[in-house]
Amino acid sequence: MKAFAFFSLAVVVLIGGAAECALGRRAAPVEAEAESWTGGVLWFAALVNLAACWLAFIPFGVARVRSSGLMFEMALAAVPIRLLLACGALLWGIWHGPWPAMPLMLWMVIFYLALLAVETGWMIRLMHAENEQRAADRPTVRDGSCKR
Amino acid sequence: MSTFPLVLAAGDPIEHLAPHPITTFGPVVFTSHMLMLLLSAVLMATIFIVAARNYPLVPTGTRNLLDTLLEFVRSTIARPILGEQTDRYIPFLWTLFFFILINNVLGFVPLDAFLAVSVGHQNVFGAATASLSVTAGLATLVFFAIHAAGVFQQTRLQVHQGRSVLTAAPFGVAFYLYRLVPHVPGVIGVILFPLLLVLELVGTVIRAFALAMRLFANMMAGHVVMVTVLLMIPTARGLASVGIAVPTVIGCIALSLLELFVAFLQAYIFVFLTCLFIGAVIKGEH
Repeated sequence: MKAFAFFSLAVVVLIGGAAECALGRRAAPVEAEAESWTGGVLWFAALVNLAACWLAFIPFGVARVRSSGLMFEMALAAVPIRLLLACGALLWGIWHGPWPAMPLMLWMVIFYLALLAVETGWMIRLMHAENEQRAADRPTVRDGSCKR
Repeated sequence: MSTFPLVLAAGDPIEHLAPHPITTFGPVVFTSHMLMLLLSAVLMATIFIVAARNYPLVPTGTRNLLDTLLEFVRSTIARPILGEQTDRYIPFLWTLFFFILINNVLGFVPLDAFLAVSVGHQNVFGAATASLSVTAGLATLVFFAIHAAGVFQQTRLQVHQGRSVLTAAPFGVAFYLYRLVPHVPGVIGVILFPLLLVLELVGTVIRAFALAMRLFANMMAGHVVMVTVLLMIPTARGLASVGIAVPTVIGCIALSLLELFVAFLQAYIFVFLTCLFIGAVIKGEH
C-alpha cells in the first residue's frame, strides 16, 4: 500500500514536471497562452487525481485492517470511487465555463489514465499475491495435511 | 371575439403544452407546470389524508377505489419483483404512481378552457407530465433512489455479517460500486473493469433518461394529436364545418378514452420499471 502511494505520487510529479518543462519552454513567447495550459491548472488536476486516488483506497485500507478476505474486491471498488471523484471535480471545473475548462479537462484525462495504469498494475500484483497465498494455504497431499 | 378557438386550444398545439410564466419569486419563474405540480401534490395529500383518517372496517366508495389501486401497485407490480423487501420501498412507489397518475389525468381536465371562458385568462394550467423538465425531475429522483437502494442493501448485508455501521457504510458504498460491474475472472477482469464500469454507469444514466423520455413523449403526443384534430373544426367554413365537426368530435372522444388509458398505462410503466431497476440492484449479482 505504501509502495502504491509512493509510486502514484512519483508518476503524478514526473508527468506534471515533464509537462511543465516541455510546454513552458516551448511556448515562452506567448506566455499568457502557455499559462492557461500549464501552471495552476496542471497542478490542480494532478492534486485532484492524486487525492481521489488515495481517498478511493479508504475502503481497501479498512478491509486490510478489519477483514483481509475483502481486499481484492475493495481494491476494484476503488476504480469507480476514483472515477466519480474525478468526474465531480471536472464537472465543477466545467461549471465555471466549458472553454476555459478545456486545459483542465485535458490534464484530468492524462492524470486519470496515468493513475489508472498504476492502479491496474498494482491490482494485478495484488491478485497474483492473493492467488499464491491461497495456493500456499490449500492442504496438499505432500505435506500430509490432506488425505490422498 | 368568440372564445371558441380559445376553448378548443391555443393557436398551435405546442403552445398549448409549453410552460407559461404566471408570476416570479425572485429569480424563480413560477410556471403553469409548477402550478399543476403543486395542485396535484395538494390534491394527493388531501385525498390520502382524508381517506386514511376515516378508516372503516369495511371500506366503501373512494376508500375502496384507493385500496384497490394501492393493492394493485403493491401486489401486482412491486411484490413479484421486490419480494420480501416490498414494504421497504412501497411508500416511494405508491407516491410515484399516484403523483404521475394524478398529473396525467389532470392534464386532460380542461381547467384552462374553463378559466378562458369564465375569466378570460389563458395558459394558467397545463399538462405537467407533457413537459420534459417535470419527467426529467421524476427520473432523477428514481435515479438516486435506485443507487441509494443498492448502497443501503449492501450496507445492510455488511451489518448482518456482524460489522458495525461505521465500518459497514464505506464497505456498503464500495461493494455496491464493485457489484455494478459484471464479474470477469482473472487479469482480463481487472483490465476490463474500468471499461465495463463506464458502460454500466452510462447504462444507469440512460435508464433514467429513457424513463423521462417515455413519459414525456407519450403524454405530449396524446395532447398534440387531440389538439391537432380539434383544430380542424375552425378551419372549415359553412356547411362543411358540420361535416368536419361531427367526425372530429367523435374522434376526439375516442382519442380521449385512449389517452385516459395511456395516462394509467404510463404511470404503471414508470413504476414497474422503477421496481425492476430497484429489484436489479437489491437482488441480483449485477
